[in-house]
Amino acid sequence: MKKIPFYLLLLCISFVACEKEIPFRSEVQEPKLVINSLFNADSTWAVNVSRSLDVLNPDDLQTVNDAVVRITDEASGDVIPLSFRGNGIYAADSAQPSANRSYRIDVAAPGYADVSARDAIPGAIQIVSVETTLVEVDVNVYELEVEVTFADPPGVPNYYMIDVRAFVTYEFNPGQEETFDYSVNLASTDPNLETEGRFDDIYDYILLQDQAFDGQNYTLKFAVQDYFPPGVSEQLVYRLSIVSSSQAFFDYRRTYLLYQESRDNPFAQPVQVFTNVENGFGIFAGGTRTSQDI
Amino acid sequence: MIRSILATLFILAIHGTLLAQNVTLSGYVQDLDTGEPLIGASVYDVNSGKGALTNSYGFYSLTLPADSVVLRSSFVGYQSMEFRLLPEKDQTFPINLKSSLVLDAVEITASDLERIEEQTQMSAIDVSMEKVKALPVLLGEKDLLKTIQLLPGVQSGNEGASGIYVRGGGPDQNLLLLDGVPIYNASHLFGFFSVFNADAINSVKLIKGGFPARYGGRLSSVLDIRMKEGNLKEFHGEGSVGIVSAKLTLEGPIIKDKTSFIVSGRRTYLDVLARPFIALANANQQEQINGGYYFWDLNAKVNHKFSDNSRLFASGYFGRDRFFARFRDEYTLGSESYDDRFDNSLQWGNAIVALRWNKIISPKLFVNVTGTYSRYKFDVGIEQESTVTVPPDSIRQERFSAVYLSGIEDWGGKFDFDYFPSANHAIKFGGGNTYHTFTPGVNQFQVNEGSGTPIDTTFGSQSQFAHEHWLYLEDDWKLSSRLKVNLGLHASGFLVRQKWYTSLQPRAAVRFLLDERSSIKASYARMTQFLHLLTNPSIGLPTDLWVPATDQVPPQQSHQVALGYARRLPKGFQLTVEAYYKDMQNLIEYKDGSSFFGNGEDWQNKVAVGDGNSYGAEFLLERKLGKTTGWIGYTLSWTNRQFDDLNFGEVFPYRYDRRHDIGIAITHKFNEKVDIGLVWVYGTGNAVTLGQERYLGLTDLSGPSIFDGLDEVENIGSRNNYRIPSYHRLDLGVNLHKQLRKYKRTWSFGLYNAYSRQNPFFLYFAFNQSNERRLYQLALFPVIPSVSYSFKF
Repeated sequence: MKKIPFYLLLLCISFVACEKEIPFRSEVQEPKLVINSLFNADSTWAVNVSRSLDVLNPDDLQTVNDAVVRITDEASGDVIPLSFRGNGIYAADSAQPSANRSYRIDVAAPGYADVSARDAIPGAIQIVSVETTLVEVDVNVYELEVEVTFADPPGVPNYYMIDVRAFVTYEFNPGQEETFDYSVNLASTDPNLETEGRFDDIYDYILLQDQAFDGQNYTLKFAVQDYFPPGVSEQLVYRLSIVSSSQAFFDYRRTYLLYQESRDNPFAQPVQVFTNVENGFGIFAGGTRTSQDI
Repeated sequence: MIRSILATLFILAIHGTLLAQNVTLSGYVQDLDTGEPLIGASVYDVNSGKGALTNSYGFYSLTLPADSVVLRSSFVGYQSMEFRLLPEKDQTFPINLKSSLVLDAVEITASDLERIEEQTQMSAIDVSMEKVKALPVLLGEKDLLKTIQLLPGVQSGNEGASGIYVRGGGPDQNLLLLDGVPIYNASHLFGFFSVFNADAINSVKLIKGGFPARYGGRLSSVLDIRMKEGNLKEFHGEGSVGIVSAKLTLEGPIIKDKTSFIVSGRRTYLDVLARPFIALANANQQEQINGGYYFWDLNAKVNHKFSDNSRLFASGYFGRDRFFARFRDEYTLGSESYDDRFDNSLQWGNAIVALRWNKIISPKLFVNVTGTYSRYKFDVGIEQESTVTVPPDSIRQERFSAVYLSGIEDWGGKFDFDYFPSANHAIKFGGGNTYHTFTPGVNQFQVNEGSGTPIDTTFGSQSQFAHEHWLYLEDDWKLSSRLKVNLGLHASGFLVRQKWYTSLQPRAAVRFLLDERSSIKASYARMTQFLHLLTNPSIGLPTDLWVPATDQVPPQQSHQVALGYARRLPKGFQLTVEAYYKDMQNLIEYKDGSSFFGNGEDWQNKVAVGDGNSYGAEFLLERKLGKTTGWIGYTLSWTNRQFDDLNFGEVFPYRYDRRHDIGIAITHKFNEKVDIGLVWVYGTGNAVTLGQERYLGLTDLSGPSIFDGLDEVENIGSRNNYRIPSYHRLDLGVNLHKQLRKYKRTWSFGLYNAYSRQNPFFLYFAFNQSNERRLYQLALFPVIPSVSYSFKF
């Protein structure tokens, strides 16, 4: 019994874990160009160009402001004119992507290897019907149950992103109105949703593939949470959008969403964010948005 | 299928009848002093050169010409014996061998050695319990799985953990059988120790490939552990007191030579020792804190001989780990007094029971019928209770509890026959059924806030039920003096949620003797596994979830081929060299971003299904007899995975892909009083996933444009893209024995990680004092001394 304190001391010493800095035996990664451009058929061209850094490099991740950015319509060979707008952004004055066309981007900047990417915008899909039901889930708390039916084109894999944005208009001064928009939460238990990594059935946006309903009219059911019915807030407009997207567009959103949700969870598997940029990082992918107010 | 088996048996029975001019010698081979059966002992006729090995119950049957017989029986660690017989009819001939653990090198003869070149079975290793007890280990806690990790083809997981990874397979792909009953979680103390109490174990056989048809249900290995049956002659006991735990084993006859028992228990006592210190820390404190950790396990077995031909065994294992933390705070705010309690616990454990009946139906036919029960249960719970007393007599109580449960429970029955129609055939056949109940993650929430409606809800994956059936037939067939084959077929089926899976698994092994001391061997085995294990590689908690194959997640399957060379060398050395290739389908892994924690999402949505392969070569130089014994093992291997939904479909290395793995385990006995042990291990670092570069991604993906902002992304390139530093460690130990008047005592001193190598447990990025981002490693164990006292009477 006299040795008990000795054993305890020994145990305490023994179980002390040792922490130490060790060399990172990986080749130092040279900075690469990063392209960020998710383009829609209803918006003008815009691209953000920045640089990557080695994981141990303490410098800021700066945008690249001296790049040459060239977007080419692959079918016609036409080059989209872009101009530098500051803070790494290169945008067109009015040129917009068109559905069912393929584009290629090439970016060059001094001190970096050239990067490129290509993607095609799928055509718009047709919303067949939208049915809504207002549900009071608690006292003065409402949800809007939505059943949207759309026509899935047959024979090809299709990828969709569905979101609902609320547009609110304020009149700060008489005659001076300003509109803001924000994304609203959607609740859904649809069996075809991409649900990996979710902690519940609530989504900022819904990702859907057509493997199970190729070529059919598909009805997606979801509920708009914290819905303000017209009697409560006259200034609010809710807009449902279905983005028919390329696979790259879909993969990037899916993996980036997972990445954002799991990066602070030490028990979660690390997530690789999808990129389609050759020799660099980021995304150059397109979609066609079909919207309807609900 | 059944018809084919019966037809085969009929033909074999006729074949046996035609050889009626022969006589059959049969019986048990046992330890002379204890009556313990000797499993795998050799019995052969020197004159004819024909022989047999005892089965899992120590039974042999040898059919020979009715002539002069010189029967020789040998077993490693026992003195060989020869008997001259003139049998005229079938005869029961029990053999009792005398233990002789240490023979001087000069005494070793070829016949004393295990004839590894003779066996058809390849990729199998018999693990000596004496070796397990003699080798130095972490904190002096003798551990079977830690010893097995030193063998070629077997890899450890993280530092300290007792799980095994065999030939590129996962920890779920090992069939751990204790007296024929599967054990689903073999770890104590967060994986640092295994559940197997070395004092209660009789024999251990590890099979890594070339699986005989009698085994099924797992892809990568079978660890067949047989408990001692209890001394039939005399009452004996042994026990030990170490830094971590104390244990005691008692065994003896209930009715001499007829009924025996063995009971062996173990418990850690850190929680007990810590109590006075916790009480001291809590003295005069408003906040009362309590906590601790312990595990215990108990092995028990009763063995009864109805006659020489009929025996009954009842055995059980029960174990439990429990970690708990309690907090209580009593205080007053204004006129209200508060009593807050917080209770947190984590516990897991196995319970298994086996009831077996052995019957020698005839000298050539032996049957074993077994009923089994196995349960693994894990739960983690948090409970909070707050009591508010408001004068004069109002009491308000709020309570919250959350419990997460998972587990698996099996009820099973099986029958196994051994049929020996002639000296050239050893046939095994049988079948069985297991009824599984899976509980793969259930959350229970209870909330009572004093007012309003109390919440009492349960959600998560629903319990699932499944039937697993199997039949098998195998024949160890000596075709000529040089050529021997083991051919078999294992057929199994699995019924879950109206989904019926079936599998036919051919098995084949061939041995060709090159000369008296060496042979080449080859084997093929197809395996099917109807269970999956969801494991989280980032933590060593017992949070693994056993789940069945379903219509979404099909059963795992593998094909394995192996080619080997076995040779007995001079001075008691043995050498085996094997090359293998294993192809695996329908493996599961957590998808990117998924973890076991949390939500009520069905586990099937969290996993990806894919394939894997492993190939390599293993070298084992071993010496089992003499003063200096042990082995040197080396493995060169590659292990990869390919999942369509992971790593963008590209092949990636398995976390435990280990190019080089070396295990050296040596003991030397100076004399009856002193022996020493040495262990050295080296392994290529595990493959982990680390970020390599940083870049900006889009912040608000739901936003319409890039102008909403950018956010930092860490690019990991590919899964398991980085190798942590290699692992190596030296353990040293010395055992000092002394025979006292009534018992023998042993002091064991050990040094784990003698040169205090800081082996990485996990890696992470952090900022140093200069605010530079750097890579850090956490190492668990520096040099750790240990001491234990054991006794045996």
